[in-house]
Amino acid sequence: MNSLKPLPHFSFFLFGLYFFSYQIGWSQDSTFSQFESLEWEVGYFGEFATHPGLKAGISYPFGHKLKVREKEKKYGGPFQIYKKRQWIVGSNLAFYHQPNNHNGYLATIELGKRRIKNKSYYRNRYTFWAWELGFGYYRYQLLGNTFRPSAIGFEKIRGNGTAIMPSLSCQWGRSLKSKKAHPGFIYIKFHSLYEVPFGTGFQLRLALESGVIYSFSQDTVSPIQP
Amino acid sequence: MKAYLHIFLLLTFACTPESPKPDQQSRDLIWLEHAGAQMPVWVEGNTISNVMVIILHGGPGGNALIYNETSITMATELEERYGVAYWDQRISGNSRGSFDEKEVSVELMAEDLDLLIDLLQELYGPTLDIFLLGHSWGGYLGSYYLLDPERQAKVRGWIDVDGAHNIPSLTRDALELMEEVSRAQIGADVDSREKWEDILAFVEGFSLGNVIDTDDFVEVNLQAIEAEKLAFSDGLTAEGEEDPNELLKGLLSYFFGKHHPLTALTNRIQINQTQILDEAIANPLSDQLLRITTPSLLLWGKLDFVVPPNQGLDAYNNLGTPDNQKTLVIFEESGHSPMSNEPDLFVDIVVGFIEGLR
Repeated sequence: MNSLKPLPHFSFFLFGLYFFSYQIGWSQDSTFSQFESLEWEVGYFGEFATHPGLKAGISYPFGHKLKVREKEKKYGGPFQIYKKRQWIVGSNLAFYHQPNNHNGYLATIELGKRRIKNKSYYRNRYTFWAWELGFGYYRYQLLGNTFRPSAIGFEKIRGNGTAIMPSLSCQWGRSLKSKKAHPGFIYIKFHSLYEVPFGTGFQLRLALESGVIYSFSQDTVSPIQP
Repeated sequence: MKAYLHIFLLLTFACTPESPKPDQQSRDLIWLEHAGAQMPVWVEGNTISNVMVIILHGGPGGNALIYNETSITMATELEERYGVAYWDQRISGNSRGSFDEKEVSVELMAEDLDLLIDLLQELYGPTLDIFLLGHSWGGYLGSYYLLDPERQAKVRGWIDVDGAHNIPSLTRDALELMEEVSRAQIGADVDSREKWEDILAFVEGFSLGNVIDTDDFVEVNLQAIEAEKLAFSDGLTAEGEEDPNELLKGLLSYFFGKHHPLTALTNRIQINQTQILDEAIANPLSDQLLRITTPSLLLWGKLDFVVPPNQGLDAYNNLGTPDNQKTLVIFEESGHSPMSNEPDLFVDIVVGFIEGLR
């Protein structure tokens, strides 16, 4: 197998991930305002939509731009529409299972942009769009038994392999009904993932993800409205 | 009292037979890792029969599970009697791994097959009778494999189904058959007359040089597939298995099945970038088939535009197998896949062949 050697690469990857998160978390400590705080997300991760799995991740929004526009209500006084554009950086762990074929494990870091706005005059109802570029470490475990020829016939081995997995994804979400300043969101996310190496080149994988996002913040101020 | 109960339960379960029932059906997934590739083999059916039929799928770059999921009669009937190994060749179907495309060759695929036979005999018994069933491209691979006497000794019987052992020659035969059938259909003024006229125009406008290359073959092959569909819709070939839930089953298999459609597609694209087909075109096997003496069953569809029945005759005439151990059967109402067009007859003939050699 010409795939990456699993353990050393994975260690480097985890170290890099930790270092990256640490830098972002603390270098921006002074601007760690009520507008931006760590979020966690969990959801269904379906490789090819129907090969079921789970995903969990954290993300950190930063560097926002806020636009406020006033609008008249149909009945009643004026209200504000807030549009916020922000960068997000995140890291995720995902797992999926294709019956009678293989299990896949994926660790990724993602960087992208999110546009979030409130829905009409409801202060705590938002929708958002986001796109993200990612880079991941992918490991698969073949189901069943794997054998390879040896000097004494065949040896049973753990059938697996590793690859790097760049990705491009887009996400849409809307807030759950809540009176809290930081409502949760439900979202749907479409991934295109590129497994490298595969065969004599690479393989495209598609995944559909759906879940919830919540903020770690206990602030009483909304993440979008000042 | 409790102690008696424990003893009773212990004796009851201790007496439960653990040996498999005679009709036990295996459903094993094994992977063969060799020279950079991880190739899945789904072994299904009656593996205690001491007979294993290895499916050599078409392509290059097809997949073996299609024979399990769409040729239901063949799969069910063969699996009831024998073990059937659905093997995805390297860069085909669900195979994985990573390697340099320059390393891929017919010989490497034959080495994979050789290892697979050894592995199956190690797992299911050293006296396992191996039968190779090669369809289309699998016919080339199987014939190539059997050219080596040492490898030949491991195989009890060879079932060649519309096998492409001579690609330059089959390309010429395909053009001839398309011309013959399209003229007949145009003469009969069938509803699809216009489409047959298009095929005839293609044949008449196509000029084959002395040397047939991959482009020639691919162009003729695509037209032959069209002719095959047309013959089917005109009722020239039999409908075979009718399954009212075919679409639903297809969708379920696509999204929830054992195979991964994107992996299969990627492999199909990648294998077309290798030299496999060029190598097979440059090495037609007709003149070498004399080296094969394995008992052989040659099965061809009369209206196979992809690998015409003349190729069956060519294989029959050139095989080194004694006349009383080789048979050519032409399926009158079949195209490139008699196991789909005339499944009952197909199974009867295959089972008869295997039983005759056990």
